Amino acid sequence: MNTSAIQLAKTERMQFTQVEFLLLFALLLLVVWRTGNRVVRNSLLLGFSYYFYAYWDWRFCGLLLMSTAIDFTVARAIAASPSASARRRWLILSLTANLGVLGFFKYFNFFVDSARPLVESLGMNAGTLEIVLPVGISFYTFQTLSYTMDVYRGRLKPTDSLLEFALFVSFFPQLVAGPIVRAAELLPQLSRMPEWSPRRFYGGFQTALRGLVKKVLIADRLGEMVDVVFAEPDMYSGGTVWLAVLAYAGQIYYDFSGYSDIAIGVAKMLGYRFPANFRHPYLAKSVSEFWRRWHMTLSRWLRDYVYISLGGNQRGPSRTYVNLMLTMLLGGLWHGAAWTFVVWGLLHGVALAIERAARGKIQIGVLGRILTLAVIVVGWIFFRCSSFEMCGQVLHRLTFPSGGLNWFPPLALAAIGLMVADHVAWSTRLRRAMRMRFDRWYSPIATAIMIWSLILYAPRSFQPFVYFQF
Amino acid sequence: MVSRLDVIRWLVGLSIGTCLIAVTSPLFVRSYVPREVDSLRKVAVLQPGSTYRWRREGYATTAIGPHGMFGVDSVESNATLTLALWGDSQAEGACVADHEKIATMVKRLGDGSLHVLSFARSGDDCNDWIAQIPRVESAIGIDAHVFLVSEFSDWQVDVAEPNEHVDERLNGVSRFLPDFVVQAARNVVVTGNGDTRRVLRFRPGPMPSHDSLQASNETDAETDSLDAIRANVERVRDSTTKHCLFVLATEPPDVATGGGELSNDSRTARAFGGQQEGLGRLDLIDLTSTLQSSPRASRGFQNGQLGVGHLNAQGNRIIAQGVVEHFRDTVGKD
Repeated sequence: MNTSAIQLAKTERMQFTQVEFLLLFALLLLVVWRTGNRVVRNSLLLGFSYYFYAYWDWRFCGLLLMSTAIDFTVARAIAASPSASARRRWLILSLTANLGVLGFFKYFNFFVDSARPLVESLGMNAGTLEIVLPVGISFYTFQTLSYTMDVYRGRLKPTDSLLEFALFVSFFPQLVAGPIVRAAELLPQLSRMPEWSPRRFYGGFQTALRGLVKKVLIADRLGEMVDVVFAEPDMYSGGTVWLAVLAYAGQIYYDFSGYSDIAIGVAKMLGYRFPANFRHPYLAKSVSEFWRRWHMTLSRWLRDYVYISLGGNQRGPSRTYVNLMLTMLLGGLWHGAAWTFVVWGLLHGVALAIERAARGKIQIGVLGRILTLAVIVVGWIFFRCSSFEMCGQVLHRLTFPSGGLNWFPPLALAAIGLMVADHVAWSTRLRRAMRMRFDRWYSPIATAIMIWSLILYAPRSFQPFVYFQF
Repeated sequence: MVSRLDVIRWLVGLSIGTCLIAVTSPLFVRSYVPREVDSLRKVAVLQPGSTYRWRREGYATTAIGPHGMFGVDSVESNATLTLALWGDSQAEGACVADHEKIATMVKRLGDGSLHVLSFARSGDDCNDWIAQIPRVESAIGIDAHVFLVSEFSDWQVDVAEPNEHVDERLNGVSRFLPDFVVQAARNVVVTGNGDTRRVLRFRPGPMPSHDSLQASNETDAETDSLDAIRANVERVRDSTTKHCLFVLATEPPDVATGGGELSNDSRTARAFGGQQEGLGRLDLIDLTSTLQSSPRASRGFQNGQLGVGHLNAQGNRIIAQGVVEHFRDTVGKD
């Protein structure tokens, strides 16, 4: 076999925007809130979570089970081990098993392809395997690893309940694309019966509805333009390519933050609290602030388990810069098995290192915002393009005036305008109104408009969530 | 607990929100016009005299003329030649304004010497056109027929009598329910391009893939399809003695995937001769396919995806120009 790319299975996974999910979720809500027994409730949620995963491909439920069994056992063994060396051995076992599975499914072909010139120059054949990338593997691997490492570091006691741990690993709202919820955040919630609260339920509904609007009405509309222009960037004028790059910045933000909002909202409707994952990242004044606002649960994971494990800022300035770049490089590689993602991570690592070096020495004010946005937007080009050749084409069109097709779709322009308005409004007192409190006069009007718009104005062609590929 | 005031507030608020959607929906939602069976064509058409609004891809309002023709206001004319235009939604041109439709453009570019009656309907195939040709030819006086070939699947169908009927229930829905309510219900019930009824799947995956089977049968299918096309073209030949022009304008590969090769349809179109006696063949595949063919793409719209989908004004102009030149040459030779 000589297939270079890891292939996704052909079957659609269950999506939050899907009619089947909405019907089943309504049924699940009815059942779980009528159940008075915590074990029964958790069992129902576990069953539904596995069904949610099996909807894509039931055969990969085995990987989930394996990851669950290994980390449940290892964490208990770590806690029971009297010596540090024994605890370390158990931790290495967990890391090897989890990262081994992730490495095989996600990175095997990437490394083989990268080594191909060398291997072939030695007269050997570097074949690749046709590997299906299991949905959500990057997310649930990080989630289970954090549990084991927290137990190893003595920050968390291992749970005695396999049911609760299995549910923590596979809980459907965050299973396939995050937020990456820590055991310390979710396990205590699963070990008690949630109290019914109409206010919390309504809040969850509004959060999920907002997420749906972000995904379906904004991200997917922007995606329609992005896909076309990025397919043949040489065909379009510089202005159109600029618009497409900005549209991609909007698409990826609203797609992923929309997904996170739905996940957070759905969990809230079931009675559980998830950490926030986004805080209007394009308002950031620096790249380090951007990472405190963008995919926050991944940022803190990388900080706590990679950056700090490498020594953080405790080993002198030079080592700090190296640690920053290594952390971001790994963060880039986590997003995808391609060199473009490595460059994206490295770009952010270098920017973070420069920022750290300049801290307290240079005050750049508004220029800081502009430079931050420039780093982010250029980074998105590497994130979106499938090859360096395409990145070169896009960067060339952005930099040098060039002719070509002028295409300025009104819906993409409106969506970008909406993104700007959304960020501006969030930075003012309007932020409170955006919560859509139940007792506000405008809440039912806005709710009706959002629901009708979702039904009427969703794009015809279905677009999967961008982060599903990671 | 939810108070009585909250309930009232929410009922009133939801109603206001719905009203706002209703008021603004004509800007974004297409219209639903009742259909009737035209006495001459014997097919279901939109009510003559009505207007038809299209919003999703392109942004246009069409005046429905006699016999349900899109954008054609009169059957009569002083033109030298009267042409009948046959095709599907590409020829129908709901996405573009009346002055940008193929029929109007041919008239304009031909300086009034050509009059085009557009009998194209969305979803039609050659069975529909062949059945109508004798009816309109004798009653109206058609001098030549123009077939816009945008999908060769329309020419690969088995011989069948078109089954035309008007569903009075659907007419009732179009007549009495607001367009945005009809559209919302339709979006829930159908999926994809709007013709496929939504099928719910609750069974766990994976689902079987038919890709390998399709690939192995591709060559055979191409040979079979050419035979089917030739048989149907022969039926056209049998149904009229007038000149027939086949305008080949099959869809390009999806530019969103970056594909630059000819689609299966276009390869079939190229293989299709269409050079028999009395048949004209106008190959506009390249001109209506490539984005580079002009400063503006010939397919797609600003509010959809440029380069993909239906012909826009530019695409229609290319076709109209080709038709005018063809008939100028034909008439010149005669």
